[in-house]
Amino acid sequence: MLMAGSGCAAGHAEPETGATAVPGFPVVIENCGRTLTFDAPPERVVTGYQPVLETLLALGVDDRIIGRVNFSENGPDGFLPGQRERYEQLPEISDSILFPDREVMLALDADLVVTEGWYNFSESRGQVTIEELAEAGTQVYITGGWCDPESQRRFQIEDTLQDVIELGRIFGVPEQAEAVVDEMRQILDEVTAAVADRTPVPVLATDGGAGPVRVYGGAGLTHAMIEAAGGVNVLAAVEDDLFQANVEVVAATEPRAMIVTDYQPGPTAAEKFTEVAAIIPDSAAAREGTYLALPAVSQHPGYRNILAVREIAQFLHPEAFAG
Amino acid sequence: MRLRLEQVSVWLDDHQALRAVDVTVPSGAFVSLVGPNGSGKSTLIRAAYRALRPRTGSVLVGEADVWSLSARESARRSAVVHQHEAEPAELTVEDIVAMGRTPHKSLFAPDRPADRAICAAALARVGLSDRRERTLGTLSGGERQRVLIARALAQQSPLLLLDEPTNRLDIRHQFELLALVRSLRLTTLAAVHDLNLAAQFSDYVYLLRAGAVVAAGPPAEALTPARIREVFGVDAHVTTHPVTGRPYLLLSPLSPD
Amino acid sequence: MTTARPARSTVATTPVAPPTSEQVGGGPRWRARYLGVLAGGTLLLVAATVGSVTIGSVPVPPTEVLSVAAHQVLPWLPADSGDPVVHRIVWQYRMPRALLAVLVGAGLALVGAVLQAVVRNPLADPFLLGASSGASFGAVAAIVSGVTVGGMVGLSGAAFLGALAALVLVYVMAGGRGRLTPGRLVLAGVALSYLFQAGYSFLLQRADAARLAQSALFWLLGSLAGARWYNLLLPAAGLAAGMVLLLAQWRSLNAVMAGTDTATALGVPVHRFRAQMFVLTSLLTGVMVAVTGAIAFVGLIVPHAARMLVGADHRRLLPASALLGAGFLQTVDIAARLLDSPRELPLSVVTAVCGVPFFLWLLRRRTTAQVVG
Repeated sequence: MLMAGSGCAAGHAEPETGATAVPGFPVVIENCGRTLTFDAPPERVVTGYQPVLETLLALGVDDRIIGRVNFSENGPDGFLPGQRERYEQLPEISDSILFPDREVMLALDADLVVTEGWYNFSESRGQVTIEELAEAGTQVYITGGWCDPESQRRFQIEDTLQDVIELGRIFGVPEQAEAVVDEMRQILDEVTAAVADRTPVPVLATDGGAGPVRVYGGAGLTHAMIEAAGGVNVLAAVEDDLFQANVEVVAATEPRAMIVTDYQPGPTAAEKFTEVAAIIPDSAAAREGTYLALPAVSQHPGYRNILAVREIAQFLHPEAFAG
Repeated sequence: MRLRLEQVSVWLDDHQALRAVDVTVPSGAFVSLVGPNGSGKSTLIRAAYRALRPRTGSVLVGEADVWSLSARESARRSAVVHQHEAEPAELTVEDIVAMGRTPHKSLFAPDRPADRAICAAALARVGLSDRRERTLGTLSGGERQRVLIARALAQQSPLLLLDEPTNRLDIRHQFELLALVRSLRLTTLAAVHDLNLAAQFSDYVYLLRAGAVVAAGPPAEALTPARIREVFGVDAHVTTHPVTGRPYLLLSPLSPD
Repeated sequence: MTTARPARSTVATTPVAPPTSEQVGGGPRWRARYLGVLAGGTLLLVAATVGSVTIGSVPVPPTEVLSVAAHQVLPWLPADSGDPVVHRIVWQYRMPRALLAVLVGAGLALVGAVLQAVVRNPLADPFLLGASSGASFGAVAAIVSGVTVGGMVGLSGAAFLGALAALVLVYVMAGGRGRLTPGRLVLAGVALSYLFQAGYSFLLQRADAARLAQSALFWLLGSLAGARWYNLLLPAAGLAAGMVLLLAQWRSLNAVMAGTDTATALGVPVHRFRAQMFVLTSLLTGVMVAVTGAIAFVGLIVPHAARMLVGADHRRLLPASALLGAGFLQTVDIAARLLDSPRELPLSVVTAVCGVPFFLWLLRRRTTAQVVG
């Protein structure tokens, strides 16, 4: 179906039907203040951190992926069911969760780079910048609207759904995208219904630390997930995503549950929980040992973080999901 | 207390600065070391207070080898007066003189009234009691050198070593300084640049050249014209100073023959 | 017609200006000034410490602070009625933190003053001779490797081991006991610092350390946020002992400041003394840095400020430096907690911002000659 031609460049003729024209194209998307134009679905795609790959796998467009980053952060079991085999078939271009060197990225000669973070293009780390990619003819799509730290804080769960729709258009699979979005909406509606009449559970979301403590405040993806899952963030008053908090601030909170970011290398989620629980020993969370080890991948925009909303809701309100 | 250097040889890097020198300073005597630059005067003084270690020979202060003593014990026997330029200008006169008590104080020992009395007496001896609270940088060169002498006095050592103390002082201060040192009646060994000052104030003179002793004895015997010509490369005519009665050298460039 | 003034030589042989009234102090005047500085410094320290335990995200009145302390220390008192959360905050976090600020501030300033005399360099600070870079390397290696044996205690242990390694390496590189001249010590220390910095920079740059790099960076900039009673008491004892030992060295430091020959003439075994001071200050620095990370600026500037106020005699300079250092760090730490509340700011950031303007003000009131000497 032809899109409304508002994005067509002046002077272009209507694309002809037939072998050379693709239905639904050209596609014009605004992403992070940049205009992305596609005359055909991209055929050489490089993906960033794991949630992005999971989203593309859900859309069924993984056959175009020519390079992906390393997922060691989530450990050997950190994959969604059935995805590990596909992951191992795809070429690995980096030995960490970040993009490799500039030269490696440019040599890949990709059409499209899809990633979740503005920080994946850091010149000081030797990575390629978005401008350099543009000069080489590669376009960049950033998921979740995480264009910069400020917009990262403004994330809403709806942004993930929006990504799926836009990626569906870009890859020419709008129906598949609709199906995925429907599935996601179903999950979210299910969660909303389940927690609707329940008292929100005070939650502290943390990445460990004893002084200062790394915690998630009242802005950004983690906060949005907590609120959607029937919890209330004890640090909602601080307008920040992940920040280093004075230990006193944490000591004054009284969560009933904790969410601990889980990744490797580093202390385990259990160790981080114990460390932070020692600061709030009188809280219900500490006394009862109530915490959820949330894989770091769930805290980034993508298919996975919708699943995580349900996972968190099940953790906070188990009785609402029983039976 | 007597100072003796016996067959002392000192190497500075690969260069032999002192060649088996023998120097004796009888108790209570004022002995000068003279010689051109590089003859080893300063090196000898530094060997005498353990700043340099001789490769051969021994340094005996009161019949004890200085290297068999602890650093503090050695400092209780000999005090040194250097040139004042190296001293920190922002310390007060009082503080600098008080440093002289260092060899006598163990780690946690505070300054006692006895120490303060010793320092006050030392300052009075050099005539600087009214400058106690001045910082060193505000004094004249002669006054600063006297402060260092006061410090050496506060050290209460029987042996005094001076390393070219009159350099860069006004002529009047040069005389005053050496007269003061003489009046202390300590065993004194001084490296002196000016031949006539050495002649005027010393009981004995050691003439050095290239790290070896060339002549030794009372000034009149050691500082002969032949020796002066050999060591300094200038002509000397020895007279007796009409006022002081001491040997006085009239120096002139070498005549062509 | 003006007369040409002779160029001022670096070696003054005559007074270059008549002494100002400030320079011609009375003995009583210097003593009065010293006592004034001690009094002012103590006042600052007390006020800052009171501020440190009462101010915070949860304000606590001083009477309640006293009550908390009393109930902790004197267990036979009847159970107190205050809010247990507030009491935990005060007792477990603020009090150890305030104590640590006093100890580390005094320790850093003291080490800086000692090193400035031992290496005869006004730019010397506790981190010149490698202990801090070594500790930083040890800590970053521990953080980035994800090894968490013993939590924060393990981290401090790794940092201290790094400092020890740096101590040994600098000692050996500078030529060992009989050859530790100031020049060699400084060169070896600086060279090794660069080496360690390269090491931990490399570790941080590796992308798989991306998440951990944030914690590491915070540690590298220094913080008192990790102060607890359990990880504090041992370093506190070591610091107290070390500081007493350093304070007692004032005579030898005066002598060494006047030059190697003068010090030898005054009976100070110079090479051995330098080696002892090097080892002692490196150990002290290692102990401090292991707990707080590298807090910059205090050890460099506080001794200079103290010198401007009480003069260069170490009998006065060392206690004054320690006192002013403690008060300075305590004040700065309050700022580090409050400026970006509820976030923690790393201390090195705040010490520079707070310290430089004050130091510039002090500098304008004195001539340069009195500063560098």
